[in-house]
Amino acid sequence: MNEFDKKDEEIAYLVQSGQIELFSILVNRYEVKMTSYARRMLYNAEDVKDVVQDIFTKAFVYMNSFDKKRKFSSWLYRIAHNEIINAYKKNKRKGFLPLFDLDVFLPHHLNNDGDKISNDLEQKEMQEIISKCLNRIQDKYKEPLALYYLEGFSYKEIADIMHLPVSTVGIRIKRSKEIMKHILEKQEYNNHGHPR
Amino acid sequence: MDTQDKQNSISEKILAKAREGQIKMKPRAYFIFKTALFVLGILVLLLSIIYIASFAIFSLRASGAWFLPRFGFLGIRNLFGALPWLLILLSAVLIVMLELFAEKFSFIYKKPMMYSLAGIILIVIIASFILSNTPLHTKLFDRAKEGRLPLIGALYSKYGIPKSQNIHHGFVLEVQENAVVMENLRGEKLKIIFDNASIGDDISIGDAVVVIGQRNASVVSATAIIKIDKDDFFLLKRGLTKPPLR
Repeated sequence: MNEFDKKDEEIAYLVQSGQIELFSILVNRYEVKMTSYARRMLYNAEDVKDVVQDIFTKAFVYMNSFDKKRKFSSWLYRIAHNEIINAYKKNKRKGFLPLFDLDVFLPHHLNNDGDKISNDLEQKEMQEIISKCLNRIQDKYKEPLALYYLEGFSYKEIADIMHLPVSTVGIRIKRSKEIMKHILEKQEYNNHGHPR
Repeated sequence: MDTQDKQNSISEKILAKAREGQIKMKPRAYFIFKTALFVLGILVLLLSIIYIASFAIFSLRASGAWFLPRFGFLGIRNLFGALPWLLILLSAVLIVMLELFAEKFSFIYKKPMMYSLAGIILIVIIASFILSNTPLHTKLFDRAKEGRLPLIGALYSKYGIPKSQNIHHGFVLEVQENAVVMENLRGEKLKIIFDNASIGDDISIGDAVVVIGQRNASVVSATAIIKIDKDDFFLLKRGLTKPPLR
């Protein structure tokens, strides 16, 4: 089997075993995703470039901490999440990670099990709505929303990426949908003078 | 520069740095060692919290404050001022630190923080109660008194039996008409005078008692007195004054 046909986890294992040149395959597979992910979370284009570079450098340096039984994409997004937080701290932006959050402390009941979205139509509709509203949503809601609807992760995977309780991921996504609904209604009102 | 070139440039930059030795892939042993150190740190922190909490219980028992709820409202009012707040605050800070460290593990962070925090507090309470029921603290206190306990000796000398103006804990040496003479855990003899409270018929020589009342030199004007379980008291007394009897 050609290296290009191998799964991410298999390539990561080969890189761990010393075939470091194969790391470029992983970079090629994820650079666009990482760039758009960082662009959604950060505002400064220069930051995005640096952050993406840092994400892959960290991924290379910490490659041996990757457990091939886990999903490579979740592991890489975890690094990305940390690098984005670092970029926030560097820019002294507050709000991304509050010191204490009741959402993390208290249990929440979830109406769904947080599996990946199987309905393409729902995902496409949501992607359109999110692209209109994302910049107007609070930072702490933005990331789980993007990871679920735009990157296609399940609640459990998002919990692993953000180190949050699964129910917190669910409640943040639920709230962000309510915020988006409110934004759209307001937009509709401004455009037509009344909600549809 | 098209997208393909950009992609190549990032991976090429990283690989070039790797070839030149500017960046290195950290070995697996580094992560194993780091995890082991982290787990060890968590264990040390947990044991420290259990030790401090059990020391707080020991200190409460030795001061007599442990038995104050038995006095009813009066005891509870006095208990608030007699609690070892410094030890409680220290335990609380360390518990929060432990929770934050434990949040690194997926089985902890995937559940709401309330559960893990409650779990840690429950473990600390149970373990510290168990530890406080062993002769560990009384033996350490004894060693501290003899100057044979380096480092933590000061902790026992300073906080082991907190001095209180209102709460007195000891055993009865003599029963008089309106007073009793008792010896406290520091070996001081105190005369307990009852102006407004009756001694009661059930207090006799050798009883372990806790008294609420204002102390003036070696005289205490008692407001209330209760007899406590001798086992509790003598377990402390044995360890505090002489080597265990058996």
